[in-house]
Formats: sequence, C-alpha cells, structure tokens
Amino acid sequence: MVLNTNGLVILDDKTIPSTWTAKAGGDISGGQFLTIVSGNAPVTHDISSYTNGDIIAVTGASGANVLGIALKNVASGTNAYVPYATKGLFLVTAGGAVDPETDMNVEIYSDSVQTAVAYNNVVGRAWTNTGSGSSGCTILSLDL
Amino acid sequence: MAYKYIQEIQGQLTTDAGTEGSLLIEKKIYETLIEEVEKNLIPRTEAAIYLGPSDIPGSSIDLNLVTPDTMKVHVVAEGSTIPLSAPTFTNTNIKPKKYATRIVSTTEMSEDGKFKLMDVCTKLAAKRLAENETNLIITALDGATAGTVAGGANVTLTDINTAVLYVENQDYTPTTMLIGGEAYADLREIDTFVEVNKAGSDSFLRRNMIGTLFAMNVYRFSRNAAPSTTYAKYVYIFDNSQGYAIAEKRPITVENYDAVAQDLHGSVVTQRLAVSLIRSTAVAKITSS
Repeated sequence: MVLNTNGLVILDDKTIPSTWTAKAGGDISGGQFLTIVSGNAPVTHDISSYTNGDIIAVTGASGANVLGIALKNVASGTNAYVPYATKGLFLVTAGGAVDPETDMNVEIYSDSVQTAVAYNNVVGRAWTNTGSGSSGCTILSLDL
Repeated sequence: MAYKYIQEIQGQLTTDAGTEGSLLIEKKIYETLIEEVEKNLIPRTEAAIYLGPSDIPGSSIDLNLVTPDTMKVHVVAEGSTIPLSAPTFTNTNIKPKKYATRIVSTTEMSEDGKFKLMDVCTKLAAKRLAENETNLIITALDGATAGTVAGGANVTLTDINTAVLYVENQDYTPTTMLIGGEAYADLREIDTFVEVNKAGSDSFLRRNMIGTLFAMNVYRFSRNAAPSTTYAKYVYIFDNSQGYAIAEKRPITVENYDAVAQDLHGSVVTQRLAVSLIRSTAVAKITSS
C-alpha cells in the first residue's frame, strides 16, 4: 500500500460533493481506494429495496473494480459505514509512473495511481507530473 | 516473610489497573485551544494611498503620476519668446486579484467537537489573508531595484546610511524602515544602537525594539509572512507618502454555505486586493547574506 502519508487529502470537493455511503467490509483508512465484495442483497426495481448495507466496501481496489476513495478512517464492524467520493480533486501517491504530459489518464495501482495501461480501468486524470514511488504525488481529478 | 511481601504488593492499586482516558484514569483536554501567535505584519499606515471598494468602481483603478523633474524654467532675455515647458505624466494600473480559501466541516464535527473549529479556521483564514497583504507589500517594494544596497554578512550602519541617502537624493524623505528578523538581529549588534551613551536611549536593551531610527518608523516583519524566509535578511527604507498603494476591491469577506444533502457546512473567505509600487525611486533596499 502506497497511500498518501497524510491519508486523505482533498484539494476540492466540487462544492456539492459526489459522495455516498457503503458498509465497511474491513478496516479502511481515509484516502484508500475502495472496491466492493460480494455478500450484498441485490436491489430490485423498487427504490425501497435499497438498504445502506447493499454496498460493501473493502480496500484493495485494482483494475476496473474501483468504487471510490474513502473519506475517513473506519474500523470494520456491524454498524460501520464509510463515506466515499466518486468525484473531486485529491492529492494521491503516484505508485507507478505518472506522466500527464504524455497521457493524463490514470488507473489504480496499489492505493495509488499510475498512468493508465488498460483504458477500461481509468479512474480519472492526473494534473501534475511526478516521480513514482511513495514520495511522488499527483493531483488526481477523480471521475467515476 | 518473603511470600507475604509479594502478596501485599499485589494488593496495591496502581495505574496499571486502568488506561488513561478510557478506564479509571482521568484524561482531560485543556479548555482552551492554544492558538498561534500574531505575526509581525506591515501596518496600513505605511501605504501612501489606500483605495477601498468605493474608490474602485470597476475591476481596476489607474493612478496618474507627475514624472519628477520634468517641468523646467529658463532664463529669458528681454523681449524674446518665452519657451514652452510641460511636465510629463505616467500612470499605473492596479488590478486587485482575488485571494481566497474555503473551509468545510461535517455537522457531526461541529456538534461533537470540543472546540468551535469552524470559527477557529475562519479566523486563521483571515489571518492568512492579512499575512498575504504583507507578502504583497514586500513583493511590490521589490520592484524598486535601483536603490538596492548589497550588504555583506550583516546589515551595517553604513548600509542603512547609504539606503537613506539614496532615498534622500531622489528628494524623498525616508519615513519607514521595514526590516526582516535577521537584519534586525544585526542591528542589535551595532554598538551605536545598544549603548546608552551613544544612542541616548536604552529602549533596545529594555524592549528589544527601536521605535524610530533616523526619524524612520521601524517595523519588523515576519519572515513567514514574507515571500520567502530569505527576506529575513532584507531591509526596506522608503518614503511612505510615495511608496506604494493598496487597492482593496473587496475587504476580507466571510460567506457561509450549507451542503444540506451531505450535512456539511462551509465558509468561503475571500479578499480582492492588490499592492502596487508608486515611485520606485522612493524605495531603497538593503540585502545581506
């Protein structure tokens, strides 16, 4: 995990944030990219079929399975819910090479981002050039 | 006997039985949030002109200036034509920029927090804007390069005198000395200022401050409010009737908003401000290394 050492760092929340709630399926730190696990009851066409436990979020997002970025630290538990964002500007670690001058599209790479290799995995755009590794950071315009 | 002694020890109540803050042992949070100190900033009294919102109907304002020494008189012989003469003029446009920050808090944090963090953060944002004004003033004064006195490791009495002389040579009257912390420390090492029999005052020794020096008001500015910490080594000497103008289209303004759907509330803290040098020759700068 090469999470930003400051955890969640929001540069802009788009004023009206694109956020939602998921049930925490494990311990989660703010700033980690989330994905979902099975175990939820499928929703139906009826809005009342949705419950706030339907989306179960865990860390370890990769590839195309990215739910969003966690907005706070949450320890897993029966009634633990985690807020996550699907849009916004975040300062995130560049775990792999990020070279927006060549390609701004980025994908998830171990709780960080790197220049997209598979374009169906793109989670947003990187706005700044950076070195890779735990000390490199970029501005991620998250758009999920 | 040895066995009984061990039994007695085990019967004692010690802090091992509890956990500070959660089990048996009290842990108090002090009632007051200890705030950061006020930085030394440059007061507005040193601006030659302050232009408020009512002075700036549009997005910018022009200052018109007479160019010094451009109107001449001539000796004229009896009956001959008197030569024409006219001064020249320049103008400076000052366009305020918007400086701002935004604070957002969840309602839970406001409800549960021990301190009113929104109030604390809003106050800090306003302080940062005030510090930004000092930054802009110093940046504007940096535009005056002709009167720069390149000092050595320390600012000396001769450096100060040279800078004062430069301003005086341009017909201005040095009224203000803005001084960085390291340069100020250099002053403390100048005998003239710290020996009562020379300075005629022991204010430096008593209060770490000389209010006036060579009839100039002395203001020490924070290096953390300056463009960089290097500015601690610099001194600015200028005539405050001709030095710089402050144009403030919008004073520091706080506007609150709510994102009800997310149960968030926020504050936007803004200011539209510009600082512009008026006459570069009215300003001298001393640098040290």
